[in-house]
Amino acid sequence: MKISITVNGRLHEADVAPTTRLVDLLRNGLGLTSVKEGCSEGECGACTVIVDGKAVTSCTTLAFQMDGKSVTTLEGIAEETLHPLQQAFIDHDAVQCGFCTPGMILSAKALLDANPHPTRDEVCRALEGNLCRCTGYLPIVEAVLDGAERLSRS
Amino acid sequence: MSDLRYVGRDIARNDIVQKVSGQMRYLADLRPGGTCHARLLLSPVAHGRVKAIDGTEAAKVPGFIRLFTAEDSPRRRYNSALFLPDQQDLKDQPVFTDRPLFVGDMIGAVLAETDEAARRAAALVRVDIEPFEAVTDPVTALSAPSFRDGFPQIVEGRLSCGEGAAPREGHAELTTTVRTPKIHHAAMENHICRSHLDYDDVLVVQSPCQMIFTVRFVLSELFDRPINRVRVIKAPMGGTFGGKQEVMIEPACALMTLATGLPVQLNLDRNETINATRTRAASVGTVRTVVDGEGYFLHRETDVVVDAGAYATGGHRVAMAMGKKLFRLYRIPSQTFRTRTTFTNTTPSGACRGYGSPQIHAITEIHIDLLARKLALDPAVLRLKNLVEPGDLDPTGAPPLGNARIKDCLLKGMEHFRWNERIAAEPGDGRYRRAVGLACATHGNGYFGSPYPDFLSMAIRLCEDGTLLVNAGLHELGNGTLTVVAQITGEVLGLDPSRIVVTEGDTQTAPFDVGCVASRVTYVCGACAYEAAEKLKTLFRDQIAEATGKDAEGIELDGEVRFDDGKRLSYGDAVCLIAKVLRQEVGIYHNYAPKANPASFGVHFAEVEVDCLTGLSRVTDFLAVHDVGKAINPRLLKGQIYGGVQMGLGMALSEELAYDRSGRPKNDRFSRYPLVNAPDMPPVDVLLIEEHEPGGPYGAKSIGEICTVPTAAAVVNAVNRALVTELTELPLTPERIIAALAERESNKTGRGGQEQVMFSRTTGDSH
Amino acid sequence: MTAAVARTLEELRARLAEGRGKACLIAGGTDLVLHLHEHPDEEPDLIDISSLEAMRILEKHPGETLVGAAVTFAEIEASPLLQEKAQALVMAAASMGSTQIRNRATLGGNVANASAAADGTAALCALDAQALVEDYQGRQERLPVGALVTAPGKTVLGPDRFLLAFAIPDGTGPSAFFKVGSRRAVAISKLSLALGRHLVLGSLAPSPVRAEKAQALLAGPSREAFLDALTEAVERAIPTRASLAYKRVAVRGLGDDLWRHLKEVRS
Repeated sequence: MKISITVNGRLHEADVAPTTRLVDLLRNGLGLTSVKEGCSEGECGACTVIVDGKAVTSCTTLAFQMDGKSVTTLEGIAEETLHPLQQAFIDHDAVQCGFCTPGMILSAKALLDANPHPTRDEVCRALEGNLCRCTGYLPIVEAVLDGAERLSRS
Repeated sequence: MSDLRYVGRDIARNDIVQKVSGQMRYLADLRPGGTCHARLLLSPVAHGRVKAIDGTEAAKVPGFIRLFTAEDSPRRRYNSALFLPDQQDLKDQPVFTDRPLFVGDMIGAVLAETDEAARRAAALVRVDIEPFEAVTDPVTALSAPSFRDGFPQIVEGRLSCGEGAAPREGHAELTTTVRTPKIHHAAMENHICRSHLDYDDVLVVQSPCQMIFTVRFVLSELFDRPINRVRVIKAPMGGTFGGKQEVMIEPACALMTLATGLPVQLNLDRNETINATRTRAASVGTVRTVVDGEGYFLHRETDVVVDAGAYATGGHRVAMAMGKKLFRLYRIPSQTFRTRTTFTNTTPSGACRGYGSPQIHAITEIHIDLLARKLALDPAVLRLKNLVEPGDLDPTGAPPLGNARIKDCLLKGMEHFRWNERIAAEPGDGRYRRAVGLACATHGNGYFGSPYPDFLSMAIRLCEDGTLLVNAGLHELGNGTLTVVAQITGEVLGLDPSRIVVTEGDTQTAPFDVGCVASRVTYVCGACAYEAAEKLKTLFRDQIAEATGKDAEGIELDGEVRFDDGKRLSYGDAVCLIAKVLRQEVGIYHNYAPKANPASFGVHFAEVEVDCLTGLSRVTDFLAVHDVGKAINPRLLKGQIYGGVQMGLGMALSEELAYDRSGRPKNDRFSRYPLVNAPDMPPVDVLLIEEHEPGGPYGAKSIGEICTVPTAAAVVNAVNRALVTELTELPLTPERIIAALAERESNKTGRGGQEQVMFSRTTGDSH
Repeated sequence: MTAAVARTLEELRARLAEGRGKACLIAGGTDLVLHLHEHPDEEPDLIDISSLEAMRILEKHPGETLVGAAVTFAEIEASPLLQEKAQALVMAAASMGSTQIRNRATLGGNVANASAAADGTAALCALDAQALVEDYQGRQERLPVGALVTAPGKTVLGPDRFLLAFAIPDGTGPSAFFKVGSRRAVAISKLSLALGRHLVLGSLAPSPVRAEKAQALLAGPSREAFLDALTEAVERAIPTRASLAYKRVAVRGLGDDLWRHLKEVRS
């Protein structure tokens, strides 16, 4: 099936099989390998992308359903310099093995786009679907709160 | 030591920009093409015999290349934990088997041109298996007939000290049995491996592993290839926690490459990673402690049954590692340890953060709290009477404990956590009960003093532009190994760590190193890096002196070359000068073998709130105190602790790989295996005791494993205080908590079945 | 194996008529996609209904509120209309899955998937909601949500019929939803309790179980009597199940949550 999908601001025409998942299209079709696959059932959040402003697990979404939609991956959030959230992740050492990081940052970005001044509980809730086994989440939550502040300043 | 420039500072990890920008290429992220893809055929039964495998339909899938079964497997079997030929552990695991011994045992694989084709073809392979009865419980397994074709069903081990040194009877005593669960490592990246044959008939294997030389050794033995024709390259890694330490999928991947000559990528899904790789070993431990009238430990007996799962792997090593910890935390005049490693039709167990330490400490530290209750003593006070002191020896003759600062940890932690005040508080009698608990723990710093030789080499070179290359067989696990080694070498040479590259392991190019395991990286590899940098510095100074004709005494190396006449030279210019004048490289090769294996210590304090109706426990406050010698990078070190606490909380409250009676896993997906997520993570305060450990680089010792060791026991002790229960079966699921409360009530009232009346009465509005 | 997007009912009916018995509807995909991924040998004819207008409604009608089958849990959670008319459904939606899952998973999918632990189904049953069911020829009927599920994973719908929307009647009184899982967030319900026109228990049986006696006591003065009746309801529903020992107590926790909640709402 032929679809047109906007990814990171660029329109792509893609021919996808019925059961091709969004994660497969992004990783294999478009080479956007920041999108990770960790559980294949929408539980770990490593494959999180933003679809029309909302965080979505791309392993539970079929590519053909994304016809006409706009998708953002981690490759699409930084231009010349790092996004303030990315910088906050660095400054708080919110990364260890790095495998969950792209999904974490995108969940955080979707939150901050909708709610620029979240509470700690709201941050934890936005990240409830992103598992990390390395960091204990604490530096990640700090980074998101700090990222919110940096974004509101800029 | 206060003038350190890089050590002791929060330097950003070397690869963090790549990681936050999605540019980090893990093995699965290589662009498609250039390799074939394999999918495993895993046994759907826990015990059985493969009668037939029919690949007719699979072969029709476009892109199908070949089906592999037990017939393609080498006759030889292997043990996934071995790294030198003299190691005698049982070699009982085939690459592909026709006698599957657990759900997830590899009975074959399908190779195809694409991953999608491999998946489709694998789904179409028809496997006819005759199922046999399965044994899933380790205690039952002790008396079960062996299902492992001639291999023993029990491997026994013992340790003891001070026989007859203290009375075993006649004083207060307590016996406790604690069960710890099988646990999935849950690194976010699943298992993956790539292999190909290069032009010189060298088998090249890329794997996100922790011990390249072990992988090389096992592959060389299995496939009867010279060691120098097996090249193992450590790939970027999305977490391991010991789950990628042993050799698990590399043999299958390599087998397919060797059989076909094709490059092969073998990916596992989460469900396969849970079932087909390794787990933390389940254990059932019984402890009996005899104490005198003042609460000093006189004698202790510990008997632990360890569930190795279906193959020997490292199971018995884990069991013996458990025993060793028993002699290094408290002063106990006489002590015995017996372990029986036994086999069940479940996923094999192996290395998992702490290598048995979290299990044995859960067993003994929960027991000590119940003992304190029996003696009507504050559990902190009971521990303070018995804990080891700096300089203590190990009574079994293992290496001395070094600068053992466990008492400092406990005392400072008690103050910081306001222990005395909080332990005196009543848990309340409403629906929600609150209490605090603590646990102490010890762990090692490498292999020194064990049967396994501990040594490594590094080659370090200054480059023509003044940057530094540290050529090492290291493995970055995500914990900051490369950053810490760069900080240490940078400190010695006055070089900013951003100008240093530390390599990861490649068996063809890196010096030997036993692996990034056993809490040995900072203490052992870091010390190697320190000595190597010092050696390089001496050489560099001598070379400059010779090349310039100046006196070596008058040359200072501090990020640049400073002569006593005020002249300066950049490192790069000096390297070029030495090249031209002396025709020499500025580089050394250094071999290092540690001469000590001190103990690292930690005390964890937890506050919990338990819902007596739903049985859900929530950790509301947490303090981790650690004796680390010296924090090379405090921020990375704290990151280790946060993650270690998170894993320990899961072990205490929610994580368990359980099996039904036929041996089918009940929790082999994340939706049924509750890891701690962000809303359940409590705030964690960290207190570091930095008292310099001799032999460690800048006085540093290990943190990566010890930080998850005391957690589970601290939480369980808090729950037992909150509920006045004696819960000893981990994890403390809501079901177990409710059952324990019901039992407690029926014991108390003598009227079984009346517990709900009591609960109703106590659901006051006060909360 | 095919894929198509149905944006209108006409398109959907045509597709279903064309592929009689073979078509597989997909909305959020949060259950179906993982099934397909685990069974690569299946070759379904997929019809995407996630943007089908008639299934995306969320509107007030005389006497009832209509929620389209393809409305997501995130939309339910954020709907002021449902917060007023169907608090139990809003609370169930908020407790379902993770943020990412709520952004995709739909109410219709939750019901049609027929899991005993479906929080949406429990809330709808409590609210006495009816399912608007249509077949490929456009014949519509209304069925009580409680009558849809016949066994775990099985519904009365069959391959020719689909869920269009749910009608939640007005005047169900105060409503609420509570559940317990193995952790506080992102957990499959071990047990749930939903109040609307009915008081129902989820995750006990293939379909939610009503607790009439407990409901009658909810208006009374004694919380103990109410909680005892809940325990009895669990004992009646699963007299021999191993999970009884836990659920007969846990239900009191959910009952206690509900009791407090109602007290707060009333004051």
